[in-house]
Amino acid sequence: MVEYLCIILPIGALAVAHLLRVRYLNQQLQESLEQRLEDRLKERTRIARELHDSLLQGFQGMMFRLEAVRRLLPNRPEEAADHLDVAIDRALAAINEGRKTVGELRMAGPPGTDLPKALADLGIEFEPENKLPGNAPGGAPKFLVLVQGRAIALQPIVRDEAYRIAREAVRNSFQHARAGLIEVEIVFADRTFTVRVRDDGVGLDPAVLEDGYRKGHWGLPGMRERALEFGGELEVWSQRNAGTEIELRTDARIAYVRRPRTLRWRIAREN
Amino acid sequence: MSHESCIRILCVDDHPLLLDGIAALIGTERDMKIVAEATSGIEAIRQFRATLPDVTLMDLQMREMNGVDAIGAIRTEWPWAKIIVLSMFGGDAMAQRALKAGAQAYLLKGLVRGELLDTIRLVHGGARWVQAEVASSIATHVSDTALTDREVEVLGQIANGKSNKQIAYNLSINEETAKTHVKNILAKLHANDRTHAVTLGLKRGIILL
Repeated sequence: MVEYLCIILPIGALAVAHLLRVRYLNQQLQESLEQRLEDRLKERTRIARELHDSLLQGFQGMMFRLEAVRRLLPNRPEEAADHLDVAIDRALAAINEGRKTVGELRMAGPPGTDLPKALADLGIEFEPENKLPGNAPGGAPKFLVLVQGRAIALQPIVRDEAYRIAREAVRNSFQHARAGLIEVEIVFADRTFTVRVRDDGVGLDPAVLEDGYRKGHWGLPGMRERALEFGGELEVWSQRNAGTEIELRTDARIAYVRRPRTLRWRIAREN
Repeated sequence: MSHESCIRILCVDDHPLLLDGIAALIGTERDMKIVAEATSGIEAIRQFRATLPDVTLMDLQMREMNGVDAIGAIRTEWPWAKIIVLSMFGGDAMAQRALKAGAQAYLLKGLVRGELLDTIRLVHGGARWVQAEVASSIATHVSDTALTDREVEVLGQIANGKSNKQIAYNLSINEETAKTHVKNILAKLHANDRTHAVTLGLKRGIILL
């Protein structure tokens, strides 16, 4: 009897272990499928929103102006001509904004692109703009990307959004800060994932900092809103002539792809 | 036209190019003028207080307080306020919410050809006006069970690509509750899956982009 048990027990244990393993793998597969669907949905919503913000609203505004032209003809042709000139300028502006949006959609890189690498490439992307005369009297600022901690796989949404927010911040630093040094710091910590962008430039206009808003720019509120949407937090610090720092913090539970639990751990937990 | 009888307008929209176009159109008329512009709901309330306009043109989808909330706040403080919604979206849910909040008219930006100036004059004269397309979409869904506020919130999270787990975390509810909300949303909207629910939600104006 005891001998039988010696055979049956291990076999039984193995069978149970196998079944648990199969269930676990199925669940993993299911989760990754769901994740992919959710990412796609999120991406669709984002593209719709960006098209709405740039092209649709721009053209809608122009349509109102064209209606004004229509009403001014034929009795007030000179005013009509002025409005037409502006309409043409506005159409060009809308096209440019649309082009920028499309550019940014492409810019996020294929899923899985390494975040530090993608951010390091921003130096190359923004440097030429910076070399335009008048943009930065002191020559191009130094651009550094620092990584702290061992890289942990990020949720695709967090990776993409962190990239976009950091990109906007780096762009601001390159274009407006007159900085000598622009630094991006990426911190993979156990409890939080943090990205900081800082420069030693002129600092933000206090009014911009207070309102988080500058007419015609969505920079700060856009970044903050994006951060909130995926569960991150954005903090901005800025001092006149000392520089600006933007910190994006995300809880580890949201930021990281959960490491697959080991089988042993699961069995221990389920029993 | 004397200054006294000129219709004073507050224009609220978060897109500069749109404000610009509307200003150009209203600028052609001698019996109305824009006295203030605002790019968010919060700013709209501030500008309303400062200028007390005869008619307010209000976009719905804005950062920092959406149009429906702004309409509610303005009408609570100034019950005589006359507000025309000028929206990109024709969904029945959004239109109903705006009208309930106190808007007198609902116009779709894409269908507004020639109608905006007339509607401003009508509403200024005390009339209400809803475009036929909007009215018929309200009529179509009038007997449907509306989503609860919580379900609307959950649908918004789904649109932003959140999993049930993330939704539960963000709304501080447990995952089972989140799942139940999702199930109810699909049933109420007659949707086949999450993507379909988001598409329907956007189309009907239950959620905004």
